Order: sequence, then C-alpha cells, then structure tokens
Amino acid sequence: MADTGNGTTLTLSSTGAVGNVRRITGNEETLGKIGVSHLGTTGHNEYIPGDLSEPGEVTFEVELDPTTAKPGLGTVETATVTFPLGSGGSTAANTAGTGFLTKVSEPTFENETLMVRELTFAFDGKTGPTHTVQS
Amino acid sequence: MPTIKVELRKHVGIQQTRLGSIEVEHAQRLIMVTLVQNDGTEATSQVGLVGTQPGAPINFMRQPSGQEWPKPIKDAVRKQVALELGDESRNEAQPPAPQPVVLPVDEEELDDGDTDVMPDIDD
Repeated sequence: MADTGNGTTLTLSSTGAVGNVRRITGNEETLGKIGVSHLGTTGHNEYIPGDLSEPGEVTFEVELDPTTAKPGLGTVETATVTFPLGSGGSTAANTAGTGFLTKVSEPTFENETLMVRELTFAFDGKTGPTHTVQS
Repeated sequence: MPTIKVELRKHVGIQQTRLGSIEVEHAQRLIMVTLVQNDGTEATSQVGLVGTQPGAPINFMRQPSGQEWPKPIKDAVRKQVALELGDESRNEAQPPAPQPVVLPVDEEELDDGDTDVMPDIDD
C-alpha cells in the first residue's frame, strides 16, 4: 500500500528527543564489487560481490528548539526509524542499528525561514542495521 | 473504564547478510500498550521505545493525530519500565530545563546602598 512519510519517527536511545523531525533521508547500504575480468573476458567487465557492505547513515533535519541541548557527537547508541503504522497493524516497520552522530549543524538564521538543524547518524555495523516489517 | 496493559517486547530485527537473513536483538525494548475495554475488546499499539541501558530515556512516539499519549498510559509505561528494567530514575525524553544565567557582580557595588547591580557608567 502506497503511503507518505507522514508519521515517521526517529529515536536515539541515549540522546532522546532532538526536536520535531522535518525530514529523514533513509539509510542506504552499499556493497562493493570486485572486478574479475581477465584477458579472455569478452564483452562487459565481470564482477563478483565484495565481502563486506557499508552499513550507511541516516540524515535528518529537525526544527531547532532553543531549550533543547545540542546533541553530542560520537555517543554510541541505537537509532530507530519507525515507519508510519499501516492499517491493521500494531507494530510499525522499522530500521534500527547502533552507531553515532557524526554531524550536528547549526541553523541558518534568516527572515521568513524556520531554524532547522541537520544531523547525520552513521551506523557502526556492530548491531544491524536491521529492518523489521510491520506486524 | 478500560484496563491498561503494558508489555516491553524485545526488539529483534532482521539483518540481511550474504549467508541469508539473521535475527539481531537490539539493546532496547518496544513499548506495547493494550487497552482492554469493559466488553473485553482489546486494541494493542506500540507507543514508544526504551533503551535497556541504565538511565536511557523513554521515547514516546507521537500518536497518529499528533497528540501526546494520555497520562494514565505514560504512568503505566513508567511503572512497567521501572519494574522490568530496574531503573526508576528514567524520565521521558524531553529537553533539559534551561539553566539560570549567572552574571558576575562586584560585591562592593551591592554594599554601597546602590540597588542597581549594574556598575555606574559615569565613574
């Protein structure tokens, strides 16, 4: 069933609240490739999958709340992106894993513009990232 | 009046590896709340997450309507978290209280009867 991102939440197990989240750029896991072409290869280059994948990172934009402490970098914790709950479910799908914040930006101060802060959470690959489907 | 049941469910996710799917348990619990109505009908929903490490905050999710969860539900969750995870000091994830601003004041300025804490600019 197609749906929008409205209702998606992000939680950081130690940092806690970071403010109202405006946008979450979903995680992207990547796997390298190893070239196995040789002098007898014809047509296209040939590849095999690499051994280890990159766990990826999540970037999110939050409304800046002046009463909320600036999140610290490097604290290892679990980040969970909980998808919107579809009809008939009790537990929403989620993506979760351990990692740490690698970027916390200050907002751009401008008339007629919300103050927003951008944060980047890098999965460390030790626990997850995992994906759990809605149930 | 409905009855509130709280369950802290292990958060087990599925990780895809080259050898297939494996189950991975995270160091946090899914907070599941069941409301049991007087006629016996039940409705269960996840209301948040809580880390298993001491002092980790309780992260309540927003309801679909954007509203906060009712106080009886929050209280029941806190009670169950304290019971199962053995840490009664956990608070709901919320911004810390703003710290008071303390300005340095010259004590002599206060003792000379001048109630204005700002130094005189015509000295």
